[in-house]
Parts: sequence; structure tokens; C-alpha cells
Amino acid sequence: MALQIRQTMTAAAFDEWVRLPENSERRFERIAGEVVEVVSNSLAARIAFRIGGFLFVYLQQHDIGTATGADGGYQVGSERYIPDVGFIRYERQTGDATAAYYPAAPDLAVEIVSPSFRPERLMIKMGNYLAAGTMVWMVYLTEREVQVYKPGQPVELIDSNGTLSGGDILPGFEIVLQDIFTDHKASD
Amino acid sequence: MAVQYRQRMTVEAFDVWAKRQDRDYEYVRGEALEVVSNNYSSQVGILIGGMLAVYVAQNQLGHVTGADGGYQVMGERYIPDAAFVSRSKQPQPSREAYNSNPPDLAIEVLSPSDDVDKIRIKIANYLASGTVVWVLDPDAKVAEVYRPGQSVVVIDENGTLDGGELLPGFQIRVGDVFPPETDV
Repeated sequence: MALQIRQTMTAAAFDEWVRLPENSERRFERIAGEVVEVVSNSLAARIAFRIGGFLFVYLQQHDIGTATGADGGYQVGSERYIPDVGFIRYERQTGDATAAYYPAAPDLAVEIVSPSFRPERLMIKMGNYLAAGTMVWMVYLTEREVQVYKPGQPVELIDSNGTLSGGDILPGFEIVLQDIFTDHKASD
Repeated sequence: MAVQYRQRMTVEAFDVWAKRQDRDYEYVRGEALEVVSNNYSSQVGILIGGMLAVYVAQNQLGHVTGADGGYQVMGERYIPDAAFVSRSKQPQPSREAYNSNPPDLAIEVLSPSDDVDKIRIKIANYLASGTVVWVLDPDAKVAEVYRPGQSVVVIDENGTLDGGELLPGFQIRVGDVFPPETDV
């Protein structure tokens, strides 16, 4: 993801601005009060789609909430984030689902980290997600590992031979990391 | 702070090993990492650390350590550029290589060679330990304030870092912790 604009905007101004017709095809986040355009790459999108796919299958059998892909925005305090995959339990869904950014923080945010992404912005997002009670999975494409951030708990590191666990948020949900980092050939 | 040396080991092995080294090491995510900085970041660290130390001494609030003071944080071993432990948490100064009490406030000064992933892991573990973290960015000339359970606050150089309940009355203008880089 790259940084296209760096402009400070209030949350209210941001919410109006993103609804302008010229912005309808673009995705923006508000991080530390600044507008940041979200740009992804193909590999990040593939990995995010795989994680989202596993999550979707789980939710078909465990109807406890809703998942979003890399265009699903959330209000995290006064910030506006679009995680690559988001999940929010029904009990946190008390707001207007037609809002551009759902008016609550997700229970789980998955952020795919590629070398081009500005890491210090991730530091601020991590801090705000934790403050909002969100678990964060930061998926490192180059290192093939996942850092798990949970509010009030030590950071966990899962390497490419490990298994991600949904914990209290997604009971029984597991992803074997080799399943998301393995590149399938077209002939598979 | 940047990393020059790294080696995987258990934390028990690290505690024994680190005592025999001439240099300072942190233990982050299962690795021993040498602590290094650059000259300008070091200036920032000692400037804010000095202001903090004087204020804490005058008001008898607790203990301040510099860029060689270690702490145990969520099973890891960290050496922030400056840190404060309140007297109420710890009446006597610690004599341990890495204080078994995590600090109430940890100050991290970024340097260009920093591994930001490691810093983010450290911040999250500090937050889980109840530690407030001030991240000072000499390039952007801003301070980022991380407090457990609260939104991140970014303060530009004209803003004020406030000690809050932790350090009542302690206030510094963010720009004042970054020494001027142009000739006057």
C-alpha cells in the first residue's frame, strides 16, 4: 500500500469527503488524522482473499458475525481503517451497516504487510486497534509469518509452520499458515 | 535503535549470556539484539531523559534510567532510551540487570536504521504491561503517545508532551527535545 495524499482532516470532514462522487472508486483511510489512500498489490490481495475464504467457510458453520474484505471500512475511535480482512461479531453490530465505515471497530483486523507499506503508520494503527479492543493479525509476506496482537496480552509470533487460532473471538477457527502461503499453480 | 547483532536463544540463556557482554542487548521475540543508535537520536534521548530525570528528582516521584537501563517486559528484555518507574510502584531503585518491574513510562527515540517491526512489538508488549510509551521521531519532529487502552496521540513540534497522572506537572514542548540541526 502506498501513500498518495498526506493531508490532515477532521473525522467529520473525512466522512463527507470520501462520499464525494470523484472518490467513489477509491479507498481512503484516516490514520493519525491524515488521509491515506489504500493501494494494494496482487500478492497481498491473494493472501487476504485466502484468509477471508477460510473465515467465510467458518462463519457459514458458526453464525456469530460478519466478515469483510479489503473494501470494508471501520470506525476505530475517530480513525477510519480498511483492514485487508475484517470480522465483527453480531453483538458489536449496533450501528448503520450502510455507513461507508461501519460505526464500530472490528473484533479482528487482518493487515497484509508488504515491503512498500509505511511501517510507522502500522504502529499507530496497531495502537488504535488495541485501544478499541480489536485483535490484529499482521501477515508478513516476505518473512511468511504472522504477528498476533491482542489487547492486554503479549505479542505472539506464528511462523510459516504454525497455525493461527481464532481464540475467544472465533472459537475453533484455525488456519494452517502453509495453506495461505503456498502458491498454487494454475494447473492445481 | 538499530540492530547490529542478533542471535536466537531462550530468555534464561539470554539472562546469563547478557551479563557477560560488554555491550547492551535487548531480547525481542526470541532473539538477542544489540542496541545501537546514531548520534542525533542519542542527543534527543539524553535531552528528554535529562529533563525527565531532573523533574523526577526534584519532585521525588521515582526513578529514571537512561539508554542502558534494562527492564523485563512480558517475558522479554528491553532497554528504552529513557524510562521512569514511579516510587509508588517501586520504592527502592532496582539493582537487577533488567528491572523485573516494567517501567511506568518508556521513551523510544527512532533512528533511521530502526527495525520498526521490532519497535511495534515492543510497544504492544509495553502496553500489555501497563507502560505508557512516548515514541520520538527525529525526522518528522513529532511525538507519538501510546497509552494502554487509549487512542494514539500524535503531537507535532509546537505541541506539548504532558506527564499526566504519571508525572503531574511535567510538560515539555515537543520541539524542545529535538536539538536544532541548522547553524544559527
